[in-house]
Amino acid sequence: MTDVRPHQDIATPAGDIAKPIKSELLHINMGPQHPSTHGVLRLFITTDGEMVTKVVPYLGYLHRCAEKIAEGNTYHQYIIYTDRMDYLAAMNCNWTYCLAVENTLRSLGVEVEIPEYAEYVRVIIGELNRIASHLIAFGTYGLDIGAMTPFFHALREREAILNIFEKVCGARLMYSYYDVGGVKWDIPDDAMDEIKLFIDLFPAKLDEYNELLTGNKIFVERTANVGVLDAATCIDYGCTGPVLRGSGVKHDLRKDDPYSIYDRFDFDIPVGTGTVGTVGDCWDRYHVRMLEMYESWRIIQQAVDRIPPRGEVMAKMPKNLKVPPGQGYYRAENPKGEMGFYIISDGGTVPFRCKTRSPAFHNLHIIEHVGKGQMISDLCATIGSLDLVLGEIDR
Amino acid sequence: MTEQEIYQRLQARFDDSILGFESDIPQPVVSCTPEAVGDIAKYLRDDPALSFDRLLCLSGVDYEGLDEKGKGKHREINRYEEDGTVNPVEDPGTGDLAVVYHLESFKHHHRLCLSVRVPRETPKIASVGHVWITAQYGERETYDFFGIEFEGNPDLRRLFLPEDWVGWPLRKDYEMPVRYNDVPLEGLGLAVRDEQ
Amino acid sequence: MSEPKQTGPEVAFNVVGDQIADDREQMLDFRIDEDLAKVATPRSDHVIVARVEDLFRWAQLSSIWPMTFGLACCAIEMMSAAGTRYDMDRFGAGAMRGTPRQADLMIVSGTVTAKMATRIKRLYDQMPDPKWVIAMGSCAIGGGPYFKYGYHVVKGVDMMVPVDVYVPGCPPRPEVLLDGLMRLQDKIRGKRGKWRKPKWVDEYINTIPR
Ligand code: SF4
Repeated sequence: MTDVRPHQDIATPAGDIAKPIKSELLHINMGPQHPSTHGVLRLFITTDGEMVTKVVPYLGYLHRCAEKIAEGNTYHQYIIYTDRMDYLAAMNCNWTYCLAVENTLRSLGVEVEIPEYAEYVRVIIGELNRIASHLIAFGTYGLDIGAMTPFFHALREREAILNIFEKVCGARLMYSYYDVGGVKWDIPDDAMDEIKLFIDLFPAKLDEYNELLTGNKIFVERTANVGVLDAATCIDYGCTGPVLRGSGVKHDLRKDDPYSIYDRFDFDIPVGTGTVGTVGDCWDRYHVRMLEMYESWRIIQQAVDRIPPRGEVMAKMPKNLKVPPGQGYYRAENPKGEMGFYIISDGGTVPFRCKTRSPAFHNLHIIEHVGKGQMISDLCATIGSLDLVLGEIDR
Repeated sequence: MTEQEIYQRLQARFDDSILGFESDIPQPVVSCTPEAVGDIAKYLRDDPALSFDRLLCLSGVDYEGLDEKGKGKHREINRYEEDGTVNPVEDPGTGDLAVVYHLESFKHHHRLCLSVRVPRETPKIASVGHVWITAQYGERETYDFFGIEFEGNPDLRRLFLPEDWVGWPLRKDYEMPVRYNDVPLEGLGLAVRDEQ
Repeated sequence: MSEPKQTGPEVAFNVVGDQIADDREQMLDFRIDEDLAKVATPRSDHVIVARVEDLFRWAQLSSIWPMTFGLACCAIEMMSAAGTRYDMDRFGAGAMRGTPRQADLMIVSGTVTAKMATRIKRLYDQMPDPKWVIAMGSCAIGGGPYFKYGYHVVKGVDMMVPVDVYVPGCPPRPEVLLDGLMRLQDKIRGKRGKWRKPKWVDEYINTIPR
């Protein structure tokens, strides 16, 4: 992209156009009920004409006391609340939590031997949910920018994935499928067939999405060179996931700190390259998600190919799970970024403290930095590109 | 660098401020005094051999019920009863509060867990918001839930709860609220609802 | 599309008799819309006689405009209900409005927190009459999974605004939401009914191992 957008001249103090225009500062509340804030996020915006000079997020409109609940429920009972954190990728949240409990148990000397077959099931289902989550991100991002059609296309494929999940565990949104020590049920045959069908059909759909939105001239105009984040800022603000990778940092826990069986698969980590604008702009973050869907598809394909014959799906776990006294912080790569659980145990059946590190919470913080000097419409584009889920931010 | 080496390095630099090192657990913990944590954080980030450039997780902990060694029993926390009523909490807690920092370095790929205990009566600790910006939100969250004051945080307000909320909800001796301004928080039975 | 039922005596204003009823059969529009057939009586090819109130109700129930108002996880299912497979637009409720001032229906889809409760009240007040509320999901009905330890969760949105239809589930499937919408349409139509437990419920419950 060679042509510079006019408002960027205005945004820089040195720009010639900025000087003669002097308008009054205006305070605007965006949210908590606003179509483009993806839930109940409230942004307090100070604007100078169309230009945003300050953004202050106000959180807590969906604060559901998850960490208090953790201290009152047993390790098993808390799984259902992790569903409700990142409700677009509930499987991955389940997984992260179960992983944290398993690792805590292991580090404290309790054997947890997860069956090989269950590991494969976990990877397949987790990656499917990653695709589903990115599909929503893709669809709603189109909505934010003003393109209605991609949303319906994305939902169509998401429904296909939800169909599979429904066959696997009976629920459409809140699965609670992963359990400490494995998964709760086996994948039934017809679900496996459907997964194979999905593998066959999905790449064509990805091409369709790219045709619809990725190269769309209006879309590129609205997202390229908008909301540019450099790598150092991202790291400083604790961003992870596609936001960090969109800024060109090759960091993915599946490769850098492999958990489960991710070291057995062959996949790439897509990073933002600034194809149509600058590295780290909204388009890059969007595109990283699109490429990640493809990588997830590759992982699922390999996993389905190599999945061992049917076997146990659960390790032998005591019914009343007791964790010896100790603590640990364990994490995994969620669709939104690095999710972690910091668990302190006092030796009982109930966690003493279970703190969640939620990726979207840290990704949100950067809006204070990047929102300055943008147009209001660009702010909407930036928020959409961060892919926020309020259930996880507020917990 | 292993945690042991990091600890020795820290101890050589901040002699008295480093209180201890728990090494026999899988993720060893370095503990220090609350006043020094700002300087230590700056050192941890800027020292080229350490260069902890990421703050993964900033959590508050209420150690009510656990002693220094982490031994003890869970205290039953307050809750809404089945009919939606609240039980009063009689005995206030006495245990320490704590702030735990999980750090990681992109460059060297090592990690560290830094734990700082603060007394329950005067929970004050130095802010690390100027070192890792992401800590500013983490500190606000911890202030919101535990009432730990971070001295030097530019914007220490409640993050999730409304500003006029009473009490620190994640402390173990928190009593469940009955109402907030004109919003009822007690659970009412369906019958009561029909009468309304 | 199923054939409209012969309405006959339940329709209070059908005073014209069989002749007209037969005519009605032949009028395509009336066949398509059973509801209109219930409220209006054709006098001839070009004249319809109906009570204004009924006609208004009919218009209201066939074009309920919900507000785009997602609170939590349930909002995703609400999105699905508006999406490709379930397509809420078939029931005239597909025009999601971004502002309460253009909306008739507030679907409270998710957990109501203390901080949000006053906002919900205000949004409700901003909606023009006539307005309806659907409480979607167990959180909006009564706190749901957050009942016991939710110090920041309002135990049911009906403590803040009056609710017309409760849609249970965590989250309710889109079908259930559509059903809730139809119950709301029944309510607007002025139909009152008792919920009867279908026979299979008991049979099903007996099969669940305890
Ligand atoms: S009822 Fe369940 S799915 Fe709906 S908002 Fe509450 S927790 Fe989420």
